Amino acid sequence: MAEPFIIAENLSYTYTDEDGDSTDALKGVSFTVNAGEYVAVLGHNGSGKSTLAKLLNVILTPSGGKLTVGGHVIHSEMSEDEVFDVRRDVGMVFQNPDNQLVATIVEEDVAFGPENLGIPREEMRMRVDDALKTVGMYEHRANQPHRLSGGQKQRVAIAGVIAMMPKCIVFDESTAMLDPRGRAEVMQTIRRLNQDFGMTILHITHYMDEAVMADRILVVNDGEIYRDGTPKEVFADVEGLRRVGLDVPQGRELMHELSRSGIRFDDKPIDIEHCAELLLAKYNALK
Amino acid sequence: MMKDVTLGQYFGGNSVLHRADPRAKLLFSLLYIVMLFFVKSAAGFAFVTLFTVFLVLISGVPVKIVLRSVRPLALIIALTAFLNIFWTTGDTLLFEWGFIHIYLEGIIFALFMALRILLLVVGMSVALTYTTTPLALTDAIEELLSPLKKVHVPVHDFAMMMTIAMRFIPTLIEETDKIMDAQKARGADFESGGLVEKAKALIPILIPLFVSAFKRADDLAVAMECRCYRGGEGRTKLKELHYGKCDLLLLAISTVFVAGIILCNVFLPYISI
Amino acid sequence: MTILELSDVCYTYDKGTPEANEALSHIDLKIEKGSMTGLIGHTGCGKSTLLRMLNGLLRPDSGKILLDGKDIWENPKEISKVRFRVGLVMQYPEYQLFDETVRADIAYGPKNMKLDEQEIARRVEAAASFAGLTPDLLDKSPFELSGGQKRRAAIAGVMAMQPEILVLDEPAAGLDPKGREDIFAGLERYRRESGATVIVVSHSMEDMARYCERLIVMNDGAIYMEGTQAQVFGEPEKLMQIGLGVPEVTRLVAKLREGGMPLSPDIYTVEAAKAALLPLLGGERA
Repeated sequence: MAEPFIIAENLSYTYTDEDGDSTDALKGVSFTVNAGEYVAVLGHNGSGKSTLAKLLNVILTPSGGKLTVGGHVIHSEMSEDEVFDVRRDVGMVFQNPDNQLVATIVEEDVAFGPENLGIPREEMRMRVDDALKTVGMYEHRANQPHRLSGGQKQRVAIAGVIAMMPKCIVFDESTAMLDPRGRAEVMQTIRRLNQDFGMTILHITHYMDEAVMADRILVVNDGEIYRDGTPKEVFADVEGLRRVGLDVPQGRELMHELSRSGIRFDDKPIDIEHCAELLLAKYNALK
Repeated sequence: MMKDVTLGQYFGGNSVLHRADPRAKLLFSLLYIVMLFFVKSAAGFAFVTLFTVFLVLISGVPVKIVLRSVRPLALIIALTAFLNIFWTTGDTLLFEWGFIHIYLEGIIFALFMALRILLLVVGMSVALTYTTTPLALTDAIEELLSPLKKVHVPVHDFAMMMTIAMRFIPTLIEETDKIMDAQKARGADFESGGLVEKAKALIPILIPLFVSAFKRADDLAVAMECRCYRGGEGRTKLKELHYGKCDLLLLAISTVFVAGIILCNVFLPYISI
Repeated sequence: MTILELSDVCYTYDKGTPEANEALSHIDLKIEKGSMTGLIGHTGCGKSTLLRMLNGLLRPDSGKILLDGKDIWENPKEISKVRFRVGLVMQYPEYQLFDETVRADIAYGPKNMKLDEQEIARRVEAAASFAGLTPDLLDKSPFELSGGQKRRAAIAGVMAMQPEILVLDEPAAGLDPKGREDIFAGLERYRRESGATVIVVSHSMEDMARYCERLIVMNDGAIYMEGTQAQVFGEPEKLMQIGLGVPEVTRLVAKLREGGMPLSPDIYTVEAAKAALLPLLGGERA
């Protein structure tokens, strides 16, 4: 039985702006992410999904409820050392690849986290090289970050996190600013980290085609968990997802549209292979 | 395209100057600057010129590239020479017209000053900027200033700021290009009009640039915290600086350099200023 | 009628230096008045360079760009007038916002055109409406808006110049599905009601299939494919060779055709697929 890595119980967060107006970004959400699991958090802009990411890494602290990450309870009175421990366990990759690289040379940037952790030099060298090889950027180790493509920069950012050897990585819309090629590169890296290295992954996104690759999807809407299930379970409810401003894969959408016109199918697949099988079976049965 | 402007203009290579410790190079450069101002005579200038040519040759940086670093300063050099010609007085009057007096000493002084600036730029660029990455340079400054940490000077923070500034300069240059293009696409005119109009035309560029720079700073601060940054304490470094053979060589070169200049000043003081 | 024509346009960055980089080579292109054309291609294929050519931000090394039959570089001093006729919305255009209010920001372009106050006010309102900004947002600071609203304010800033051709570089990049839909639906409405020509860059084949009747595919600084949806999506192998694809539903239809269903290959949207499938599966025609 996998043990839980993130436990949120009735977790809430309220923003207060300069005028004293407050907005509830999270309204009492409860969920669990197990160690080694790959979970996508899907929601439209302003749904509260990024607030969730910021809580996991103590950039924000909960207004109410309880959040446990890797055995540490996140609260506003944590000491600097406790926060340090959480951040060592939970790495974070952000949206804008330009705004998270610190150094002027790729390998120096990857070393930034391990340097902060005080890792001895020989081990650091190994960690940096391994991390760069894992994301496929080893050949670029001596390059300047600003000369890389968006997808490459984002992979360097990922390497910088891997080199800290966290237990979990949170991707906060890390693909939103990339072109399809860059997105594919990053998605492939994320899958590898989960499958080959058993890393716990929380991938926050609004692209349904990326969410489909996860083991489980949490749909966040208006500060609440709207759905929690496998991709197939979540995308079964086409109307519900549309209501919260999200897309479904086109194969699934087509099947749904057909069933609305009275054609029944036994299953609700999301990939086009299975959709094609079901449609062909129906067609051949009628013939 | 402005985005290919690189700060520090590092030119990759494997020469003695490239391999020497950046701290040694920094100290050597300081020595070079100081000594340049001790040079007084024609023989001394000839010696320093030869020495600088020698530096360029061992650096392996193509002469064309080295001269490129002089280009932006050509005007300053010309102006300095020009002013010195007219302002310096001496014994040998060569030319007189109205209030203009040109002395032989003026011409010599002007030539020496121009040569001094030229050598300064060329020497510094091969000894430092072309052969040292900005990062190594920052590390060197941090190391050399580290005794000041004892008196609570935030040396690490200063070095970190330098590194980040160097990291973001190309990004911000690229961004300025993009914003200018976007406003030009909306009919902005940066060329015509008087000084006031021109200054006004910059507002639509400066405001977005500041907004974006602040956003980037904010994002970066969060990203650095998430990567467990909490100042210089307890940090290790991927690359530590070590003095090596090349630094000994540099020391030897420096000795020859200093000795040469002193000898020239003492024994060959002809045509001096 | 052709409104914009490129003939044999070439452009090289840093020409004459070792870093010279040929961005466009021998581009020939015709854009029909009032059409909505989609431009597709990977980052670095020359798209952004091409867009900067269309409104005179860059000048071709050789070749001509004809707007309504006239060379836009005939009088280089008048190039800013071309920029009012060919409006360019850059990628992530929200960074161009600078003024105190959204209204003033949208008015920046029209003001540069030296229009009178009334005309400016009229255009600002009209552009805001096309871009889907509600009137209450107009008096806010642009920096108070949400990400999607900022994007729309920036687009409105170019629409307010009422260009004959509106060119947009990935107007929906980074937006969520609802945001994308709003942007594209707004563009479609703008084109229909104002009669303007629209050229839009997008990576989403699904969006292209829904909104653009003509498609241009670029690769390596050259036009790789060009034509109607059927002409471009009809050659999925050719698209795949350069790492692009066809809409997901088109791939599904291809599988169904392989399985023996009598379907037309030129189905690019879910609606079209549904209409074609219903009779085959014994349902009512939609």
